[in-house]
Amino acid sequence: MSDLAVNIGNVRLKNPVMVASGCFGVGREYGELFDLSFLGGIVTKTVTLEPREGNLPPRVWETPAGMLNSIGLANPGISAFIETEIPFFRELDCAKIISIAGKNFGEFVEIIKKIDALDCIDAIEINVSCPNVEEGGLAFGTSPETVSGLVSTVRKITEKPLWVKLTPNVTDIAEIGRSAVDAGADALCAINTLSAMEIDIGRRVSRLGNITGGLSGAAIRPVALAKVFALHRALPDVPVVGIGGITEAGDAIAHMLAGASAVQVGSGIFRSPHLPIEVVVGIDQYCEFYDFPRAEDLTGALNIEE
Amino acid sequence: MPVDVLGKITDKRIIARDTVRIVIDAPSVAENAKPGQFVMVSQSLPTFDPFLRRPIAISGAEWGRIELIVRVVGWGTAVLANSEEGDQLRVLGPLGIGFPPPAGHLALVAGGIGIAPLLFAGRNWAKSRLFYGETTADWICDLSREKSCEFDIATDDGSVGEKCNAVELLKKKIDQFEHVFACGPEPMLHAIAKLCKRKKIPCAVSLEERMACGVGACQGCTIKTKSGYRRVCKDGPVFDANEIIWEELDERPCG
Ligand SMILES: Cc1cc2nc3c(=O)[nH]c(=O)nc-3n(C[C@H](O)[C@H](O)[C@H](O)COP(=O)(O)OP(=O)(O)OC[C@H]3O[C@@H](n4cnc5c(N)ncnc54)[C@H](O)[C@@H]3O)c2cc1C
Ligand SMILES: Cc1cc2nc3c(=O)[nH]c(=O)nc-3n(C[C@H](O)[C@H](O)[C@H](O)COP(=O)(O)O)c2cc1C
Ligand code: FES
Repeated sequence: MSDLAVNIGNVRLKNPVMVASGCFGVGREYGELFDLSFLGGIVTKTVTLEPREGNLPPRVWETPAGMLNSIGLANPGISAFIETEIPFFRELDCAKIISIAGKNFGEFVEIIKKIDALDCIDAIEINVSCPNVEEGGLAFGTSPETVSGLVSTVRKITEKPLWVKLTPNVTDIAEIGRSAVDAGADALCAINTLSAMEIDIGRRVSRLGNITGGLSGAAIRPVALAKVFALHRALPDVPVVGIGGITEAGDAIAHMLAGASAVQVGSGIFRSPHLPIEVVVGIDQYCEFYDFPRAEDLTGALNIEE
Repeated sequence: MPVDVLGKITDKRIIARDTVRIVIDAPSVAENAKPGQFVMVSQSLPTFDPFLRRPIAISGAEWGRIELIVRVVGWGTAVLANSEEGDQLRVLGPLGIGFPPPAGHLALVAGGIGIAPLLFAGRNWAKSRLFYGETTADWICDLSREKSCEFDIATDDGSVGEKCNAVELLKKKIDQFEHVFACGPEPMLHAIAKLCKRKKIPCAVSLEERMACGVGACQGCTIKTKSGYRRVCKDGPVFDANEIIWEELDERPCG
């Protein structure tokens, strides 16, 4: 058995496998299927200041080797979340990361004021990359100045580790990543979904109620690997959390070789609820077979001839 | 509690045009299954085509086996319908809330493949009668094995049973019933809901929505009800007809 523990800044994970925001709730439902303490960590559905009902249905659509979603950050709002979800979430024996989003800097500040005192939260994931909302979301995450302004604003009011979740819908992800880190982010998470749509040509309508959505699943894995690689290359000392297209252990290992210190599994869970555990086991087997005493040694262990 | 298991197909037969009945050995799913619940199913091999599982109602559960009725409407259902006896399927379930306990004599109203969950209800609650509508005879599922419940059949073209639809069948006998369970196309469900409201008979409808997780985690399958957004997979698929905002369902841009 190899040492599977990894560190994302000063957050210690018992293994590198987390579940991605929006794909796992806070773990209630999947917790009926397996023991959540096998996970390295859980990232909650993104929570906003006010409750959000989310977008018009249909909200999901299957695509070749993946899916579109336009959920639209449906959530009960931070106050109700703290009241109804935190009592369950706090008891879980794995790292607990809360994902948050706001329409403007002020909303982020308000939310952080409410969660800063919760000791059960190990890190805050700042979602500036949701393609399914009009304000905040992508509009923030595509501008280095806005990301920098936002991160420095929230950095001033919390000691908690700040992870910034980046969008792939940019020309140079490393530039955005650098502006987040320079402003005080502790880690970068990549990637959120790619802006995408599908059309029903018979009825001449979009397949999604919200018209456009975000693409996830196996189809985006190669894109995600290139983004993780770009971030790790530009910012070798910054922990990167690799997200995108993980549907088996090998995909998570590829993310780590590209430069990720840990991974998050998203829509692959819908195909196979036990996937996160299979990934933990697979990483362990890989480390044994290829003689990596510690899973953290996988990070960036890509052979490159230049 | 749901489980995710590999189950072997012990029997598969064609029971109507494009429609198969599949029996799967899955004791841990079968023992907890209730009429109205469903499973998320896929092939056992990890393929990306399709990427997601498909929601399919449980149409029977006995002796450690579950029965599914699958109608081919696209690639995902074609893959399921093409699997053979001896193949394994991945089955996650039972999921969702089932039908409520019926308040007396029960009318089951099925439109098309909506028959699937109602067969299970018919076997479970003896005092029930099934009203089953289809477009034409070819599509009518073979019900010769259904001993426990009586049924009336209607087709749009009169090729078998009466020439009308399931709602009209129900209308003729509705005064004999104290509860209605329905599953089928939305316009049919809406008509039944209106009829039951007028007659002051409680009515439970089983709805369909596109699903990703099937367990309540992704918010992908929500519909707007009188008490706010509800997840069809977790808070349904069975809802009290009075809770549904039918106009919202009718006006959906696509689906
Ligand atoms: C709770 C629940 C129980 C169901 N039970 C059964 C059952 O017992 N037997 C059965 O044959 N089918 C059942 N369905 C419908 C079945 O899930 C869909 O037909 C299937 O997902 C279509 O997949 P596909 O790849 O074959 O078709 P696609 O290529 O995805 O679609 C083909 C057509 O089917 C429609 N469709 C696709 N998915 C759904 C859906 N989830 N609900 C309604 N329409 C859809 C599409 O709009 C399209 O017109 C159920 C659906 C739900 C939500
Ligand atoms: C249904 C669904 C809902 C999602 N909701 C969120 C969300 O609320 N916040 C967020 O940061 N990412 C959200 N995501 C994006 C995922 O966290 C992840 O970044 C993306 O799906 C890529 O990973 P995957 O290919 O493993 O799914 C969502 C994805 C899906 C499929
Ligand atoms: S399909 Fe995910 S919540 Fe219903």
